[in-house]
Amino acid sequence: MIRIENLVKSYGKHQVLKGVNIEVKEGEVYGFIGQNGAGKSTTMNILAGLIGFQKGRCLINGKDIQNINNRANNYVGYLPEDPKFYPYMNALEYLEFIGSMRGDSKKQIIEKSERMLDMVKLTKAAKRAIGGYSRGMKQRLGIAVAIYNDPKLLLLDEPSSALDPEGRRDVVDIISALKSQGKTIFLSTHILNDIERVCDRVGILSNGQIVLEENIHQLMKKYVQPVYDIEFNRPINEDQFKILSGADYVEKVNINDSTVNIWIKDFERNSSKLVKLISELNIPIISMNLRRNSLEEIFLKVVK
Amino acid sequence: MNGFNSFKAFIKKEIMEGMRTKKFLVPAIGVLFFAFSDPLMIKLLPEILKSQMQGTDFSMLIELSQRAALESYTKNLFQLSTLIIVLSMMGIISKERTDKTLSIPVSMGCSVNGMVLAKLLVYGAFLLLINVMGMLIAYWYSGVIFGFTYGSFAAAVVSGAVYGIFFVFVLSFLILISSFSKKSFLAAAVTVLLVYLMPLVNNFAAIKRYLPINLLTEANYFADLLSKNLAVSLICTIALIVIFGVLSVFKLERIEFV
Repeated sequence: MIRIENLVKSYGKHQVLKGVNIEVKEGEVYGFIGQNGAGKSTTMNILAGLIGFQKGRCLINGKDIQNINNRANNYVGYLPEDPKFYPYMNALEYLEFIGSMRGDSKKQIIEKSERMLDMVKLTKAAKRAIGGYSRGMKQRLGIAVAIYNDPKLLLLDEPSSALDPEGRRDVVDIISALKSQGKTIFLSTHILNDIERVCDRVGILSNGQIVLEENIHQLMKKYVQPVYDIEFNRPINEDQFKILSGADYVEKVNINDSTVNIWIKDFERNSSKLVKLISELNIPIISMNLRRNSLEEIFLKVVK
Repeated sequence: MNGFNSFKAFIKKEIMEGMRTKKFLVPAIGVLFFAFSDPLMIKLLPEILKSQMQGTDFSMLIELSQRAALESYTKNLFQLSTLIIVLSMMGIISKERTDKTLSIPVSMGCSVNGMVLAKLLVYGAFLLLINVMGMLIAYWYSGVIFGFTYGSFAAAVVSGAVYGIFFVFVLSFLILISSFSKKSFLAAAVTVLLVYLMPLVNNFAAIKRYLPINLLTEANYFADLLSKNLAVSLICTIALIVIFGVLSVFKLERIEFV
């Protein structure tokens, strides 16, 4: 759906994108993360056809968008980081403006607008001037506008950055619903928890280049720490410690009162063996967790 | 999404914006106020001055006629209404660029030529209308005060329409400058400077008739019919409006709306 090849974008002497390569497949939710100023919004704006670029190729649905007349607007919905609307219009009027720009009939506009506003929970505020909306409400309206066309591809730049926790959950739910409809979503966000919840693949942009691109599950697996944190309902004794540390696949054992940390070799192969060994100790277990890195920790490791 | 759909959508949007943000009200007041005030001021001026300098009959020094009232109105139209119109419309493109309100429409395929054409048409028609109205009011009111001794209603309509076309030219120039600069005040300053410097070309008789400023000279004659000179100026001005419109679209299609 999206193919970006060796994309270079400069503002004067400052090169923002230094050869970015990304491929997003149809129906995929791609999480695009990076530090502030890394060039995420620039990439989004290029894909939305709002700005040009100096070098490289950008293909959306096979269409090269370098040419201004070749913008892929018909199947792209774009939500900018800080969506701007005409403050004297209300949400219904703005959607009508967008609908009539597309050539929709009055009936289609009314029907679509009501459905979109209901989806983003703005029905009650539909007739209030947008100038009086909070940032979160504007963000919701931006989502309604982005999906108005029923686009194949959605470019969402920080869709939940201005929302409260409930609003954020709603946005994630909307993205999940759109994903289940087969939409391709290119999502940029600082909220890495959202990425973990909805994305299939993730790309990390740092210093104008993609430094990591991976399937989210494989990425989490790759960066998983092969450590089990186990809490027993009583401290283990010397013999039990010897059994644990004596296993050939156990690398290290730490004991802190009734909590035990066990490092194992070849996590995938030996996990089940460890669980079996622990059950043989015959001590009731309160909790057992595989220690993992959050996406945030992975991100910080990668961009350092 | 074709240009015509964008044009229709922006026509509606511009009318809504004009009404809700007082973009129609301010220029309307700026034009119509002088239509009422100038004939009245001409009538009252000798009385006002008489109270200041007793014993002098100012009615002998100041021409008290419909012609003088209309001349005063057209003078104010050029000097003050131009300023009011340009300042109230200076954000027509620049504000959309600085506020980034075009990002979403452009990302959804809005046609820039549809947008520019809609702005030019809505505000152009509005300027034409208020200028015809203003001239008719000035003609009628000055006639009521001084007697209908100069021109005619038909001449007032022609003269008002010609002034209106001149202001459409000013608007097209403002749009052109706005497409080059995001700063609305800069666009307004350059436009006002151009308008105020235009009378200088009256010194070049050979090219005068081809320039928009000649429209005002011809309009001030209050003739019922179009003269040859006026027709030439009209054709040249309309051609310039079209050229400025095309150049604005050409430039705006190549800028980044973010």
